[in-house]
Amino acid sequence: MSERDTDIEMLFDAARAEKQLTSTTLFDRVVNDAETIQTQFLRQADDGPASTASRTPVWKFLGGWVTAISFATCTAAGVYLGYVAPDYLSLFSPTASSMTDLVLQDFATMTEGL
Amino acid sequence: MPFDLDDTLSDDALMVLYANGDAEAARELTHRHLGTVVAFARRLISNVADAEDIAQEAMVRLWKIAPHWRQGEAKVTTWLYRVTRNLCIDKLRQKSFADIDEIAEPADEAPSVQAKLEHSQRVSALDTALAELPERQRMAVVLRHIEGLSNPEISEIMEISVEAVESLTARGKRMLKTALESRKKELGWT
Repeated sequence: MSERDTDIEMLFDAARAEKQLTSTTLFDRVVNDAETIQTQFLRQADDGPASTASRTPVWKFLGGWVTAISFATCTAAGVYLGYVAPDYLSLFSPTASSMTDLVLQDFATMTEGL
Repeated sequence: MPFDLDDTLSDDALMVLYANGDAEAARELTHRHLGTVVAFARRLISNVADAEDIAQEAMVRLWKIAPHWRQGEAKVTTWLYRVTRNLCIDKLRQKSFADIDEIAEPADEAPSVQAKLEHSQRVSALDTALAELPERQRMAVVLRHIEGLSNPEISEIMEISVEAVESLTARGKRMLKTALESRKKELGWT
């Protein structure tokens, strides 16, 4: 170790020896923070998850406003279509018997030459 | 300052006691670590008021994490050094355009007693020279040579490799020596 290394080590020693005295005010501020935070998390722990759930409306678990609006829109559309019953909708909903007839006709045509 | 708790209790045990509602555990942890945190912050940012604010914030974060503290995963001291370091970096970035004189000259809190004057001058000179080092070198030198931590501990705190710590401390120490050369008369160096 060089002479200058020894010198600088002496400075480090001096710095280590100098204890940082914390003011009583700072100590009290820190302890007050600790007590406040401790009270908060202990209260939360006492309330427990059941209480948290009880404070949350059920409909929020089901999706909240977005789900409610979508549901209302779909209901209104269903009621409207049921009431008006437009003709073109029948194109998309052939009765089971007419569909069966069409399939049987196709089958008969295909097997005619056999 | 008298405490009811056994001072042989580990920091981990105190964290558990605090999380379970023991207020004395917080006092004991504060007693053990606040001074170190303030001293470390003061050496990094050279401003006592800011250092105290940072120390308070670091301790607030410690209290908040207490209920989730995992024993044996990290040492409270290492955790506090890391949080303090990050808070200091934030503060230094906020002050990056501040008056350089304010940063270069740490507050002189030397006691008026004549016998302590020389000691105080040396510490003040060291602090001034430290303040002139680049941020990362300053942190590494303070943690290694003043706080007395090992290189692996510093690597954990600074989130860099041990080799990088060695490099930073070596370069930092060289720069310190160069900076202090100009004050060798004041320091009593021949």
